[in-house]
Amino acid sequence: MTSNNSNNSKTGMSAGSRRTWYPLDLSAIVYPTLQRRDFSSLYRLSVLLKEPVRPDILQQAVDIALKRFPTYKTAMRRGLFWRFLEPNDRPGPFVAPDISNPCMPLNFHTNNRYALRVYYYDRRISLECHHSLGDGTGSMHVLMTITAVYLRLLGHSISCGGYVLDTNEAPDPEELEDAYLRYATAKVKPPRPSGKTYLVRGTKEPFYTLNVIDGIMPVAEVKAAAARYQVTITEYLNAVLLYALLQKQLADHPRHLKPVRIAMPVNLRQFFPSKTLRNFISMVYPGIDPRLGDYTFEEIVTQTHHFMRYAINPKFLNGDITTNIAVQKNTAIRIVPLFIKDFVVRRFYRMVQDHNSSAGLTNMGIIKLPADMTPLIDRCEVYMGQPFSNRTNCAIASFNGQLTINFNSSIKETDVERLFFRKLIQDGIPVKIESNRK
Amino acid sequence: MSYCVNCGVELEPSLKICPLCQTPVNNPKQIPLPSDYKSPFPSESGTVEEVSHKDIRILLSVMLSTTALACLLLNFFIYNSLLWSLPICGISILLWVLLIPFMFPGKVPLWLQLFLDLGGVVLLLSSILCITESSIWFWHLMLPLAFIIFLQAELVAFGVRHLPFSFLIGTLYLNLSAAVICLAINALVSYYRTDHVHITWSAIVLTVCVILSAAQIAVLSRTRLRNIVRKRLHF
Repeated sequence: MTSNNSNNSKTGMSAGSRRTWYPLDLSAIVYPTLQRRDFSSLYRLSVLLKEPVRPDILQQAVDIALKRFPTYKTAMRRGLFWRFLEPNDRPGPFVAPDISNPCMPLNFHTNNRYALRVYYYDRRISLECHHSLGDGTGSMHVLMTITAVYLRLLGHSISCGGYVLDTNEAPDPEELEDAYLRYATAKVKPPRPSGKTYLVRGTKEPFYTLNVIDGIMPVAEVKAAAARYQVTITEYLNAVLLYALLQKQLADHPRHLKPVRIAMPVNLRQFFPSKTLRNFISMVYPGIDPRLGDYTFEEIVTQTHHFMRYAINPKFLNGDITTNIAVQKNTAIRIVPLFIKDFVVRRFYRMVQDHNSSAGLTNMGIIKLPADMTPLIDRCEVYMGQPFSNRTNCAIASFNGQLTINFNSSIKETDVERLFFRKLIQDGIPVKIESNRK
Repeated sequence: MSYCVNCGVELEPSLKICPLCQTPVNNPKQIPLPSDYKSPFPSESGTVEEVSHKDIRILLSVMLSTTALACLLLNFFIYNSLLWSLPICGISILLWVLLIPFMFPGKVPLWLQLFLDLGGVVLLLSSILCITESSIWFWHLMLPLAFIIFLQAELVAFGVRHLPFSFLIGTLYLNLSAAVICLAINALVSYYRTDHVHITWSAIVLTVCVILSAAQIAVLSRTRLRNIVRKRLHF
């Protein structure tokens, strides 16, 4: 690959009209190393339409729309020192009838080497995407553009805007950039948060099983409940999850209490302007330490509120990404062969990073769509996918006045989910439950 | 619509139990679901697509069999003073057997793979035996050594697969295996040379391994010690 200017070479961009390969971004580097026979870093985004899906039209829509997203129409390849994405001109990805075990592991050599899958079931279109291709915001653009093209093929007039991109336009080079490289400018490298936290224990489900529990509720009621505690919806739901995890830990009667912490990805695009459709997130870890004393729910809410206000700002987030990118830029690390990097990263993740949080929570916020598309869509859902270890992942999205909270786990027990939703009911929020659990 | 009496949540009409607390739904006034009602989740489960290793199987099998066949023909028709092609055939077969896990991943159990590896090694040694004058090295040295390493590998494989395993336990297995194999090499070589078993250098290796293993067992049996070692050596 050749590049004409320094900025392009820094962000991995080339001046040519068609890229021959894409280096993985800072977040994407980690996910393929965690790949196991029974685990892939896959997440799912779904859109529920008003009418049943027609698979033949959907396939056409996928074929048309995916050309607009060159970093998603790629195959994962191994180099000597790093992995990279290579444009994939094989047929596909092919739409398939949906399955009861979403986010099942994906081998990079199967599925015609595509690292994404498209499913349909009744009125629902689902996109499963490997995290090495992009984050939720990037993939939501892919899903909504596919949905818009699908609806256009059915005869509806859908304009572009929000998450819907124009398929007739060439991709903006900024959409393909590794935005971390552009914005990691801090002069110091703050240490990463560390320390062992409470890990949910449970009975492992058989291979490939992913349990899903969806809670659907009106946004207005959640907003009103959050307003009673004078916090935002994200802060309130984080506090409810921390409360549920704390209650679960107390019910386990452990010999020694451990801190409870949530890993929450923050969309960096709201602080550092970038149109990138690849990964551009940083993690924050709101939590409480029950060893300091008993916490009431109000205290947890206050703690979460102040932590989020303190930690989520451009300066601290810049420090975080600078710390992370320093590892990637280190010459001594760069020259280490990939298989050694894989071994070390996997061990580090299993022994340190995985113990850093008790659960994952992501809030995609309001899914913004063009006004002419909104009446054709019932609901939007986000699944964080299979957790790396015995934990629960929680993903939140809201659309058209409805908020969906989706829990994913690979364990039989539902204690955290039960405590979470019961707390919402106690706070006066009506919750409707859907699940794939038998 | 039905609500869970324990959790207070509304349940999707096709749910027979509350997924949160497993309480059965018992609503006598529930309206029967329409015949075309579809549950929000499909009932069919998916399976992970298997990676095809057919190409690599064909390539390796063709390469190894061609090598063996070409050498056999060369040996029989041109350079026919010595049966030198037999060890090459033995090496080809051994390589093919060793590559089984890459050609048929997950298909052959580990104990069977180790047994096949032993078979390959014995076949290779037998092919060398055919072109050597003496057979003592085979019966007194190499065959017993191959069997001892095989048994050791089977024991370690059993330990790794069926007993609790950690990094420390792995190093303990490694330590004990090194001690046993060094002892066997020392004993068999001295027996082959002098017809008597003389343990010499392997006694030092054994002593070091025993000390290290005793320390590892002590660390493994004491939770506090184990945690200190894990903390200090984590990477």
